[in-house]
Amino acid sequence: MKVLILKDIYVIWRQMKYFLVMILIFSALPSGFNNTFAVVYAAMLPYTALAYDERSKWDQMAAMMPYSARDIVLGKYVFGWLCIGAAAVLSLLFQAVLALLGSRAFSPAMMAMAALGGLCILAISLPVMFRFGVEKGRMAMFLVIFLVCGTAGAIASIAVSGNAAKFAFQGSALVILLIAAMVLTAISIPLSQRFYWQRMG
Amino acid sequence: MNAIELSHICKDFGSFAIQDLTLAVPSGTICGLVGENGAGKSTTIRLLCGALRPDSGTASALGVDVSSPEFLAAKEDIGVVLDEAYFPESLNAVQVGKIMAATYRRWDQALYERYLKRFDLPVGKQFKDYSRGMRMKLAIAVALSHQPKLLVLDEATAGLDPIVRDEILDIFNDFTREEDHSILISSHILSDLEKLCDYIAFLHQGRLLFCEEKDRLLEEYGIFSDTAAQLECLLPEAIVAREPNGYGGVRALVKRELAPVGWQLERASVEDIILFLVKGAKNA
Amino acid sequence: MELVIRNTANQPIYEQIYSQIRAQIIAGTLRPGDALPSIRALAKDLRISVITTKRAYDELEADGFLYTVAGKGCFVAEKNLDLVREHQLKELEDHLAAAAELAKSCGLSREELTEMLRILMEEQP
Repeated sequence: MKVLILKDIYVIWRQMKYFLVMILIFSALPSGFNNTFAVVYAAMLPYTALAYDERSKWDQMAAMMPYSARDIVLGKYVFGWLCIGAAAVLSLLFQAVLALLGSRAFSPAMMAMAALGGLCILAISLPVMFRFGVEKGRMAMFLVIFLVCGTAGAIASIAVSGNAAKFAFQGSALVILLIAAMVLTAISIPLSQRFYWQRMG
Repeated sequence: MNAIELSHICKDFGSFAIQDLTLAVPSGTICGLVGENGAGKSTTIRLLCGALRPDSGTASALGVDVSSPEFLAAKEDIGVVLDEAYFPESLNAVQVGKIMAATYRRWDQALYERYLKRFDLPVGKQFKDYSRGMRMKLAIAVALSHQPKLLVLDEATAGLDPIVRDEILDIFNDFTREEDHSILISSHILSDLEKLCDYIAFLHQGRLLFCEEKDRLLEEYGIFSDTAAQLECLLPEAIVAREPNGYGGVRALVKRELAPVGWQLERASVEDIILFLVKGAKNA
Repeated sequence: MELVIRNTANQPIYEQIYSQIRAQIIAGTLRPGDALPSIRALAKDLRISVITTKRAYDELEADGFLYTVAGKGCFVAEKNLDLVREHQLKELEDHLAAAAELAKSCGLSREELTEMLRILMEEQP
């Protein structure tokens, strides 16, 4: 499985540069939802990798190589988690630096929520891609992103009443998101494997 | 042990179906798979490599059932070259090498680099900038560098110029100097198959019409090239198919043993035989 | 060992190999105990099918011209004297036929030719 993740990194590498630039730019924006965008973008990278796979017909080749179906499917998840994690960590580091230098606020909780949101996006969109192919999966993914971001934005604007309320809200939101991410992922992975196996028939 | 064994394989795609395909390729031999476009060659290869599951029937490669969990390990010993090289396009040869090294246990990096050099493949160039010929050469280099026992080649020489093709055929020929090395090669370039193969298997509309020793096939048939009137002297069963030239002459594929002794028949090439057989099948 | 495969001939390849090796064994170019290339090596070197070389070797073995040692390879068998004699007799016959024709063309009679032969054979040690 490691080798498949390596392959995805190689494939995405060119995009990675823009990715890093994006982290910088978005981290510099006023604190709020904006600077978590890099994390959401990271959640889309497995889709990009799958799209490249399908376009170059690597998926047909890989079916004849000694990769297990588990490796192929799980590899995309792990790749996605690594991207989200990397994006979150880098964004936070940048924000921390900016916060030390200036008077910027620093919100690790927001970043954690975004990361967990990213995991949920992955968990929902990947099975769709394995079942219906990359094109349809892309639509599902954007739909989920739109819903997740929209809801998060709405809730965030409502909950900006007082600092105390904000922290409590953040705490419970984190817990809910964590549970959601874990449950969704636990369902998503076997589902994806099943869909992949079916498609190879 | 047979290198490849397909037994009563059936796979229905609606508009096209593989029907009751039974084929065995003995270990240490080279089997050529011929057929028109859409005859089922690529499908057969996918079924053989486990990339596709049959509706019924069994397939095994190197003695391992394709549908069994042990087949995953058997894939280490199978080198595949498909009709196009399906590597991710932003990768270069070095990266492909690194990925393959981590994929196959018996990957020989030195051998891979020798092939890259021999085929003149630029190492830094992205795969998407490769010409078709270069792509095939890379795919072949990769397939050979993990030291497989079975090579499965789907139109692997198409798009290569004749000089390179000849060199590649030499490489395939040498591959089978070891007695446990086998090759299944599907190709439209029948002259290549004639040079290389021990067996010729002919697929037509999803059915295997025959799988015969190439040399026996060449012994069995001859080409008659004379007047149509002369052709009529032969037994009708001896004539497989004919091609009149519009000027009273005719060219026909004839079964040697049914033709009178002493009759001059030209040597039939594999291409002649297949083309005439297809004509015969069409007119039947 | 010399082998030439001719595609133009209507003779099956295995037959060409068989007869060429056989001829060399009878002629003595290949001596008893000489190692022959393995079936596979021969096939790959000549770019022909392994099945064909095997067939040729199988027939040579069945006819007593070569034998196989497991794990070592194929070797030329001791000369089969009857066959050698047969070959030589045929050659003799061919020579004599040529001589007879030549005699006819220069008007030599049968008795004169036989006399010539008798003298020549007396001169042989």
